[in-house]
Amino acid sequence: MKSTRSRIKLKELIYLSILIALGIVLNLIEPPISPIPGAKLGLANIVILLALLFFGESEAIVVALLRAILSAFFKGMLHPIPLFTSVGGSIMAAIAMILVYDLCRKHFSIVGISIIGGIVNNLTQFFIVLYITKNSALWYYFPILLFLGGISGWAIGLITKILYNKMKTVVKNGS
Amino acid sequence: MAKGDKLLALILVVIFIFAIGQYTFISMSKAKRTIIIRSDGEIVQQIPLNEKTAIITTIKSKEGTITMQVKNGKVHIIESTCHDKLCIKQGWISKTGESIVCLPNRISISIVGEERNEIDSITY
Repeated sequence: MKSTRSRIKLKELIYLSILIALGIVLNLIEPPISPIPGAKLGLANIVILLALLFFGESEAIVVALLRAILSAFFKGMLHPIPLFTSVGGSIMAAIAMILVYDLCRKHFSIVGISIIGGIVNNLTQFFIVLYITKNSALWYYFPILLFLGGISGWAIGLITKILYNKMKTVVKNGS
Repeated sequence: MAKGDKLLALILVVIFIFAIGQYTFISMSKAKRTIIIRSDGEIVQQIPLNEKTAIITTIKSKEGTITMQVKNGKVHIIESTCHDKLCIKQGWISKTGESIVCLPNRISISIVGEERNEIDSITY
């Protein structure tokens, strides 16, 4: 009995490590999108969503946190301010998606949850940048950031849905 | 499509229409443009922007420095001590409302429609 349980733990650990590694690679290879500098599709959110769907709330947070920090390591970008915006956006998006998943799963599909994650990610980063620069002119970018967050969340959600359906049998049978 | 998804799609459409409206409205404004430079959260320099403005200036903050060039009514960053160089990659800005932010250096450069001064905040 005990060995089965530890085997389950080990499998879960392996899957989560793969998800984090995937998230780092996705974040490294994804191209930036215009018109806003540094704006990205947020492909790494795929792995956070998968961690949430397959394993649970705390696992999703751990994946979000480790992915953001390790990505910064691989890019050699350890300046505290960009690190803070990136980790902050990632964590807040994960928390928002977890809340929606836990509280009103009936009303939202995977795509809907991902849209909320995308919007919250951009909202968080926007307010951190606003706080750091104290530049009210940045509100100019607010509506387009919300919109882009939603649209990229949509795309991420569609990809995640396909991956989830394909991986479902493998991960569930495996663990 | 679940009920919440439809609501989200609707919200996104509304935001999109709002954004389009806002950008059209701002782009129609004929107000004089001013470059406002903020370093460590404080306004350090204001430069009127027109076709004839030609300046190269270096801005310091506690974190580092960046060098900005103004030419032909446009602004861009030519040098920065930051690591990611996103501010340089962004290229030129020229429209009212646009900004360049160098987050690691805590410096931001914005083009605003009218000259803003301290009086604004205390006028009723």
